[in-house]
Amino acid sequence: MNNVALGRYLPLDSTIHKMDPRAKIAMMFMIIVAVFIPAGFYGYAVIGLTILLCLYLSKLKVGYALRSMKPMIIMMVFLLIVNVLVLKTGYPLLTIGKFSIYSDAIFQTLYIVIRLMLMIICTTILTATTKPLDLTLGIEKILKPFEKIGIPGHIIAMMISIALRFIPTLIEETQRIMNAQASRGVDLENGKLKEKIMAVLSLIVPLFISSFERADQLANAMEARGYNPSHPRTRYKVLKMTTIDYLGMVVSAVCLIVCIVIGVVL
Amino acid sequence: MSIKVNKLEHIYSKGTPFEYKALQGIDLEIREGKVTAIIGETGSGKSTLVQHLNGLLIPTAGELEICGFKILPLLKNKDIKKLRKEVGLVFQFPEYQLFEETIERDIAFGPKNFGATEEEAKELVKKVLPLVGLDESYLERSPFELSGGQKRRIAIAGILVLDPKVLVLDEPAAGLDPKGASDMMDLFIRLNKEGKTIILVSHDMEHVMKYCDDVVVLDDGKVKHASDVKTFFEHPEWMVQIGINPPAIIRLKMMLQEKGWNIPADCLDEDTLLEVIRKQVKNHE
Amino acid sequence: MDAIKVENLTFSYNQEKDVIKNVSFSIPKGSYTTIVGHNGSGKSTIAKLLIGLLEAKSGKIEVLGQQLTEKTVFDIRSNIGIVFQNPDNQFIGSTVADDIAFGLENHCVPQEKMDDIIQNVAKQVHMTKYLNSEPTKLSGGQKQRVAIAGVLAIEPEIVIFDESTSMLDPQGKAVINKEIQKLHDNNNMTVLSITHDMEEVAQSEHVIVLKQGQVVLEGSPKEIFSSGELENMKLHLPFAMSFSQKLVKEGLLSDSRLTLEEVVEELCQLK
Repeated sequence: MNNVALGRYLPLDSTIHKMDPRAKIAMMFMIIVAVFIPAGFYGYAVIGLTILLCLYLSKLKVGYALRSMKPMIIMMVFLLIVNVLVLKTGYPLLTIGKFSIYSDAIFQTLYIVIRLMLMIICTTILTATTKPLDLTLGIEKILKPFEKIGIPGHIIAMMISIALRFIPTLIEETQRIMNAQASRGVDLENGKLKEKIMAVLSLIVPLFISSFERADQLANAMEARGYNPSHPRTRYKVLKMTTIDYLGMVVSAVCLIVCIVIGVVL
Repeated sequence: MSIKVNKLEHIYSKGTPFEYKALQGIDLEIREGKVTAIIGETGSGKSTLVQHLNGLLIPTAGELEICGFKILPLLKNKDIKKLRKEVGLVFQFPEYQLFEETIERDIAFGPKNFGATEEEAKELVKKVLPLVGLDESYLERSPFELSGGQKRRIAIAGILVLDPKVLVLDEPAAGLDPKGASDMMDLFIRLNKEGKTIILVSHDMEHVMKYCDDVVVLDDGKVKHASDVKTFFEHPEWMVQIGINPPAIIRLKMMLQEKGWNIPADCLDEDTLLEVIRKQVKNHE
Repeated sequence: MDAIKVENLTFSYNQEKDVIKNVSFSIPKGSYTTIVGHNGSGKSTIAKLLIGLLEAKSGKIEVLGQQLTEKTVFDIRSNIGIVFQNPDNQFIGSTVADDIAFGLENHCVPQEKMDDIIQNVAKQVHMTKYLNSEPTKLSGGQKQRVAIAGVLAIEPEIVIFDESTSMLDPQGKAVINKEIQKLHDNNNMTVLSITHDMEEVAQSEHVIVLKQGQVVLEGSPKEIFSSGELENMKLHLPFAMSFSQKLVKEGLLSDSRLTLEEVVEELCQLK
């Protein structure tokens, strides 16, 4: 549980860490759009290079970024199996008896896997280099223009920031309840279906109960400290864009344009 | 048979940026049939150590022997489930493990996990309820409508129902009011008299002094002191060294000693201290 | 003027049994009052009523002369700070500085003033080193100190502690008790503390004993401890008090004492 790398902030001192969250969100948005442009492996190479540059500047270890993909491995393997069984186009790569593996199955899987990888690394860089509160502040500021049409940016931002703040607490809590139930003989790995359902229930019910209690107490604390979503509030953190932020956005924009061009040419 | 811990080490998240060595070579023997307190500051490794006792954590290096089981590094062992029946571990705020609709079903959950039939489990529940000071009228009630202290009793009953030989409790009195806390401690002493080995993680020195036989002090993942409770409280400097506030009576004794009173080290209870004070005041007269 | 005045307050959660029954008390400005009683005696409910998180069934609450109503509640909250029991569930910011800032933001303190205020209050509770730390890296006692800093930041006249030390280890308890004492002595705040900790009760000026939703006893710590009522309720006396009572019985001390220091001082005079 403590090994989860996805979505965790890593306090390092790097160029990317110092950037404005709005710039980083914009960059991530552009790169993810680029990932979805059908620009083939050339496009992925361009995006990959851009992301590698960011990774280098963020001082994160490549191994760390890769580890954030751990939860996806099962999904990728599943995808590969389905594609190998279903896709029968392209040329056969390998034939065992009556069964052949076709090139498209492999390429198709690779496409999806690479896309997923790029997107995950991209979000990992964002969350690992941006404090949750800065991230939500960035989202709030980006959503600000939409407040006129009834999208409550500051409330959405507050919700996200509280959710992020409580992720570590909930992970800890889950671990504790898992341990407590394991001490009562719960075995999450082995056992019949009925036992497994009970095991999962024994985990989820207490987690829900304690989360509701937390939510209740938290709401009380926020209200007692004068929080009122319909009242105006000042903000402690002020965001400021600098040269590096504009530069970063230009680089991502170039990456996006190159991908569009490749996509059109192909 | 006593519990033997040998050069036990534990490293969390090995090989990641979050790597953390929680235990660095613990050597320890915990006597059977006694009440042993494990004390130390937050982060000293107490919780990590006790989670090894029922195999929730497996050592990174070293080994431990408990109830005839040997726990070694990298052990992937089917016996661990059997060990968990012998060593009951009650976590801090155990009321957060309750989940069933009725108290009876919640307590019966453990035995059923260990293979008891519905009827056997029900029988066991009936036997265990009086142990925690509740009667059969509670069986059909929901655990969630009880008070905090009662919920905790139900949660503890959920472990006791497995009839473990060793009962490990992490801060069992935390957050209870004083009456609730002393009732809780009395319960463990009663269980100890019935032959269970009790291991208690506690911050409360008054409880340690009043209820425990042995004391183990952890500091920075190592055993700093291990002795019987009397020896431990005869050396208040051990507590001061690791930033633990001694019990009030020891503090009074230390303050008097500082002012030149002659108070023997083994004077640890109120009546003896009263006697010592009286003699010295009277002598003066 | 009274900081808090409660008259004939009655409250029930679900129209069934009254949890608070016709309670009246007043807390003078600048005083340090503790409320004691068992779990379920209604102590924490009173705290929630006082800051308007719950609405009374009947009765009146006045804070600094202003009656608590739906209209005045926001105003009143800027004059009352509260520190709750669970250190985790009142930590809203993602770092210590952000959390202290939360209250300032709500009360529309201008951004340029915030840093100075945060530095200043963090210093008062000795948390300057941790301003950029995340809550998961802090102990329970440290989180409660942050909560106190958050209260100090909005400079209320009254601060309520709702069992703020009951989930802490003895070290954390002792530190927070000291901080509470400081708020009263140095910051001249009116302190109302709901507690089980008799060491804390001993350091307060005024004690209200609550039993099943009713005030059963009120007075100075010494009066309360000497009344015998606490023993009847199975609440412990602080060690200094119970031991000095024994010394008095033996004729070694003239009167019972609230602190160990006082006991030692008088004994030394006898020696």
